[in-house]
Amino acid sequence: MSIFAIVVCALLFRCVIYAEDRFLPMQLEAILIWGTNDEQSPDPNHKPLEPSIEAKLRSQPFKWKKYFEVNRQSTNLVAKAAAKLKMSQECEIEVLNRGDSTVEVTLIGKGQRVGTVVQPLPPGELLILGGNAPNMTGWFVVIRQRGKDSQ
Amino acid sequence: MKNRMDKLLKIQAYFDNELGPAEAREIEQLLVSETEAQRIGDFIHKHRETLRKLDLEHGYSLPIPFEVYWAGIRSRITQPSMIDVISGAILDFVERVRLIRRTVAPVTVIAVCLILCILAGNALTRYRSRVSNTKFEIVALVKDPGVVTYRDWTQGVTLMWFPYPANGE
Repeated sequence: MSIFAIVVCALLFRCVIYAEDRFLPMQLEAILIWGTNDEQSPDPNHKPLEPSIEAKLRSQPFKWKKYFEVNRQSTNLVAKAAAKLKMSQECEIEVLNRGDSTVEVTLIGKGQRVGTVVQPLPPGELLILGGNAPNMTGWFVVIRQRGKDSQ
Repeated sequence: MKNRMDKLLKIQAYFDNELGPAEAREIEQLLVSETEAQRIGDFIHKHRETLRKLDLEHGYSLPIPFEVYWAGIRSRITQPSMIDVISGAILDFVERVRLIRRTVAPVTVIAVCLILCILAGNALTRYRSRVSNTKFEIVALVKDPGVVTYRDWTQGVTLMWFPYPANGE
């Protein structure tokens, strides 16, 4: 009886792990951010950035004092699934869930594939793609996994 | 009449009005003509009268109709006693509890196993995240060698910087 119970528990455990890997989608969120030294954004559609992300950006060696949220897109991807997220007129990203909390993110600028990065992205971590923008400002695309640990 | 006993039974049946008209006439003739038959008839008549007087004097007659009287006794025999009722209810309750236990126990065990497995799965996922942190590998595929990739371990941030001049600069 006890051996049977152990075998059943082991099978259930394996099923849960498999189901979690195979069927539970990875909730990904991409945020387009504009960095500037101005106190106010000239675009009224820009929103103040989430404090936790702003704190992480401030901890990096960037020259900008203020960060504004321009656009936010999210997607749920099961393992081996991909999605294309349009962040602005010229900027898109393609996200692939490679399983085991690993993502493959491709930056597409003006329709051209600019670069691809593959890395684990557990909840709470950020993958940031960034570059220079006009008038000494900067753009960022922050990709993160939405989970109970993320904030 | 075949024998004395047969004669006795016939006379008794006559007094009980259990004979047909032909047999009753035969017995009436017999009671008139035969001495022994008269003696038996007197004996039966005398005892019937005695019994009737006893019923009247001592009130031995049934106060209610015969069928009702026996129906009451039958119902008292067949009706279950209070102990039977209580013990039956207890047995019924025990059987129900046993049935519920038989049904609920396996479901509870399976539910507990599932919950434990889900918790273990979550723990394993967190463990995997930690392991993947220790085996953290970043693969950057870019055409431009000027693209910078670096990792801030303390903040859990990976940055990929594209140092192109901005439009118009």
